[in-house]
Amino acid sequence: MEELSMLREVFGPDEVPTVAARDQARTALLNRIRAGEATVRPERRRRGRRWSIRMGLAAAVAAAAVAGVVVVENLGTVDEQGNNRTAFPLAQRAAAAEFLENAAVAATRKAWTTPRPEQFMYKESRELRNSKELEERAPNGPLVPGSTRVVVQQIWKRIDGQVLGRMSDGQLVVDHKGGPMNWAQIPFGDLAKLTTPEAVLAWDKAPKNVGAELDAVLGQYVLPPAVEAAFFRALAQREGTRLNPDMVNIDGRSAVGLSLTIEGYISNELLFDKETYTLIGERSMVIADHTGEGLDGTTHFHKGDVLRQAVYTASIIVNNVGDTK
Amino acid sequence: MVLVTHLDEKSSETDADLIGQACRFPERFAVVFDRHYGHIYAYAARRLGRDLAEDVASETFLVAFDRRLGYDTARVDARPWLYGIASNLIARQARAESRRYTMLAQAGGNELVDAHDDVAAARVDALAVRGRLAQALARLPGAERDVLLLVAWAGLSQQEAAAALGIPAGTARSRLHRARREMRQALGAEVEVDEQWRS
Repeated sequence: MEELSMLREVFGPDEVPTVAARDQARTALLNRIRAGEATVRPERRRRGRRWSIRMGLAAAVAAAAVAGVVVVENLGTVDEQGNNRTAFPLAQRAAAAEFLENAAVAATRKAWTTPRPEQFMYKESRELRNSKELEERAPNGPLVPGSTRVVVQQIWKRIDGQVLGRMSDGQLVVDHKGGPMNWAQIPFGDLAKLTTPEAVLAWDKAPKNVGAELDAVLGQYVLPPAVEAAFFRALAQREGTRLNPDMVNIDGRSAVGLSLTIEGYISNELLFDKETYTLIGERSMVIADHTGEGLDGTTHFHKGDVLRQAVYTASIIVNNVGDTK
Repeated sequence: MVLVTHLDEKSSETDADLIGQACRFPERFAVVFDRHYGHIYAYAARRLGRDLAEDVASETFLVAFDRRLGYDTARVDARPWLYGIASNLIARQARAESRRYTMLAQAGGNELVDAHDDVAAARVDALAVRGRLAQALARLPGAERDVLLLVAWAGLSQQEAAAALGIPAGTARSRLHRARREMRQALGAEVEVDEQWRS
């Protein structure tokens, strides 16, 4: 299943305006043109650049904050001796690049056999979720310690894209292309060609029928080692990638977080085993207090809240849908 | 000033060309309307229903006309700009949008079906899926919903959606990522093989 396709299909075809509605709207526009009542509101074209600078500073402050130093007046950080400990953005980016290079090297050491078209990528993850009751009340809210459960996700994607398997309510559900269920899958052949960071970054920017975020591809597809390495090196080049110096305990393993994007108050991280540099999960964390407005309610986010956390427990090629090894 | 009321919709001129021309010859903006009104209407109708879509679509082009002098003519395609204006207008109708999704969510579970009728069963499945997605859409923060629906319903790329909303590409990326995750959860792609309570 592919959620964007579902959104397009199940909400029906596009509504067509009536002739009367179109004529009315066109007449209103022509009246405006005739009246010459236009007021000029020039757009600010450089808004994007100012925003990215502001976000970069917030990232530097936030990342330094999680390292345990005190933030003073948003001008920087000082330690107990009064020394300025503001983390230099470039230094953090260099640390992230170095870490990702190690992850890339570790990836290339994995054994690999090119899969056959009829084999499957099997991805299994354990996702930390709130209790069902809490999820129902606050579906967009942070994880609440003491009220969480682990949900296991198991997905099988055939290499040729023709079959999709998933576990649902304890049953293996298998869908075939051309059947009632439609989904989109990035062609494995396209991914297999992305063996350099330049190729990955070009693919990321290129228009395409099916795509995904680079970190989402890492989490959802079983990639050849050279491709996985290229993805890590591409992430190292991308603006905004930062190493979170704070260690995370994931299922008893010490993990390091690579913060990929920071949207004001949220840091999206890939989690790596700090010893083996293996990608082991993902996490979204709140790094600044924020209030979010939804149509049916307001959600308050507090710095330190974890919004999502998933551990990758299997990422292998299997022969048949339903196989787990 | 002569207003041209029957304009060539098959003009090879780009949107940027037309909007640039409209700075001196305002009537050229009507061609932009002819090209894009249907799409903007369809998008607004998906989010708000037909009645409000008429108002939003009409207002979109009035606002766009007023802002034509500030249009960045380096952007050949005006769709992101127009959808951005429409998104802002739609955001003012939050209650109406919420009511619409609630209605769609409730409609998802009210169908009775003959278990032997495959076509009807498939229709009920689609209604049920729509209901769950509608519910999930209502729960999304507005910022995430805007990006998601510009991609899913307006057919914009992620970069175009970022441009439409005037947000950095990375912001659009992360909002889309979260929104898609919510949709996937609403579609129920999970099994609880191993439940544990953490304390």
